[in-house]
Amino acid sequence: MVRWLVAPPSDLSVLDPQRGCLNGQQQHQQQLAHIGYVVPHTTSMQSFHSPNDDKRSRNISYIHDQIGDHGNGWPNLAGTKYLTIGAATTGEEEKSIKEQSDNSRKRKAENISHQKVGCGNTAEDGKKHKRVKEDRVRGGETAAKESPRANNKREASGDASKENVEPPKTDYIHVRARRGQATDSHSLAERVRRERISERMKYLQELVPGCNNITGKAGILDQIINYVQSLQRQVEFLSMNLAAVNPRLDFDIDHFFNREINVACNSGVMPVTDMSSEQLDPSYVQFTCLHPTSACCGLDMAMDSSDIVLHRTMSLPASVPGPILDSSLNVITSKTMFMKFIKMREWSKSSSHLPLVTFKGHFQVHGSSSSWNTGLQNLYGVEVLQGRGPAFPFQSLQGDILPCNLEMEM
Amino acid sequence: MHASNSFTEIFLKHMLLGLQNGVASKNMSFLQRKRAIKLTADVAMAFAKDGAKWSHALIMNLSKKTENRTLLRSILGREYERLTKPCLSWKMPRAKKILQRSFKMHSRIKKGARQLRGVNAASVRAGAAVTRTKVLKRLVPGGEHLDDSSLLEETLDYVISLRAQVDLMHLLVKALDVPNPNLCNKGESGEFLF
Repeated sequence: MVRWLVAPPSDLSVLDPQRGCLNGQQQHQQQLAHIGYVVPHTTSMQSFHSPNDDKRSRNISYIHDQIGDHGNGWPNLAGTKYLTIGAATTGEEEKSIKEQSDNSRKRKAENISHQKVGCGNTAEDGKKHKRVKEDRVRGGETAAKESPRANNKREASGDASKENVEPPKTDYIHVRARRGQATDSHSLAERVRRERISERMKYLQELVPGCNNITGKAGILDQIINYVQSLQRQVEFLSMNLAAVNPRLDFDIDHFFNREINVACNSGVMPVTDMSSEQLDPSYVQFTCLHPTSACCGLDMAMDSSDIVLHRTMSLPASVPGPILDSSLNVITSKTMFMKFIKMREWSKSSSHLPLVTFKGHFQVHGSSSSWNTGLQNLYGVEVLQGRGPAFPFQSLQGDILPCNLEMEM
Repeated sequence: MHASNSFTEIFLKHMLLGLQNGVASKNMSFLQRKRAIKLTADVAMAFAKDGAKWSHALIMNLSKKTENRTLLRSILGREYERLTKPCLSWKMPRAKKILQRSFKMHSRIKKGARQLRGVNAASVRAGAAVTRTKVLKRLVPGGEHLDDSSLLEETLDYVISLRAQVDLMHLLVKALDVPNPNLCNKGESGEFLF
């Protein structure tokens, strides 16, 4: 026989009127005899009133699904009570009562109980049961205040840990029907799917800068698409930059690798690492030695002359585009990178904890964006004059059109 | 959310390997060089993240063109055969495709019936999300065969790795750039966040 939960009287008061209809199901519950047969709440009680196997089996839903591993990030449902009826042992029941207020401990109770569920499952694998765990029954006064979502118990995390203990072949997601919503299998599955998607959208929202204030799937998807596109464009830019930097560069992989890896790893471990200049100087020295030996590629000369051009335009004393840049950038590194940097800063400005690259120290930028455009036009004009005409499909150099031209190649 | 250190290590190592083999001391035009660099960057990124679907798809897409194959082979080494073999596990089985097609037709029929009632805000919103999902599927490598939730998961992964790639290439450019004595390089420090 299923033992009833020794619940505190406040909860029992809610349970009492419904206990009668549950008695008829006890035999059926007995086979399952596991946690989770919480008192059905009023609206879905109709389904219980006609106790035939179909309806009962429908109320038990195992939704077969592949659970992706998401570990953390389940919503905090602290403060909601969890009442279980029909636990296999009183010991468990008491434990689950004691842990009602604490959400995290509650999950452990579920885990332990789920182990028993697992044992029972293997016996019943043949049948496809549907098992709906009903809402948690809170104290009456708070039930009204809480939104239905808070009452929802999400057990997939419990499942995930259950999987570690006893891995069945298929993953079950135990879903709880929400208060006032259908317990249909399709709608439940859909709800699980929707919640997954919204959870992942939340992660993406954190990741993509600038969409914290945007609500709605379409807007966030928009931002994500823009961000991915801009990142891909940046890769194009950077590869072009790398191609242009030093055409006949001999990569001394060990030397370079050790230094860069040390720098990168150390920066990864300790985010505030200063790349001291003497670390970089030897590598600079090495490459400067190689530079004069490289053939006088027309591109090199173009780059050098374009440097001069750039600096001429850069010395224009225009105001820094303040709202766009919080830190100023070094001029030399930014020939074609400046526009990307502006974009990057625009992206990273809105979320302070996700800067892509931040540079401290002496950086100065001169010139407003319009002068940049003319400067870059001069840059590419020089290159075109050098006879590399068909190589550059750049016609005009506004920030938007440039990437479009690159996309022609992509 | 940032890429792990091991990811960036493998990425950097393979990128430099590829650059050394494919680009350095070779007589190439600017565009060819740029394409080769981009290729090595992408392959290195995909190789460093071997657990994700997009990486496999990216390598497969890149290996379809014959001119990339030598470079790919040099970077991937032993893994080349394994990675370019079309892996059927992540392609949808035929039955599922048929089911999806019939489901789409069914929903189309339902939409046709629904249109009689007029356009409501919810359907417009849903339509907007659907079109954008299609765009996203095109952007993320290997995204066409994925359903919504796994597509979002792959985009997450892909965004992280793309970001790491961009940062790494920034670093490379910065390190390889010939310093001009006119400019102040002194006291510059960089903070490299993965």
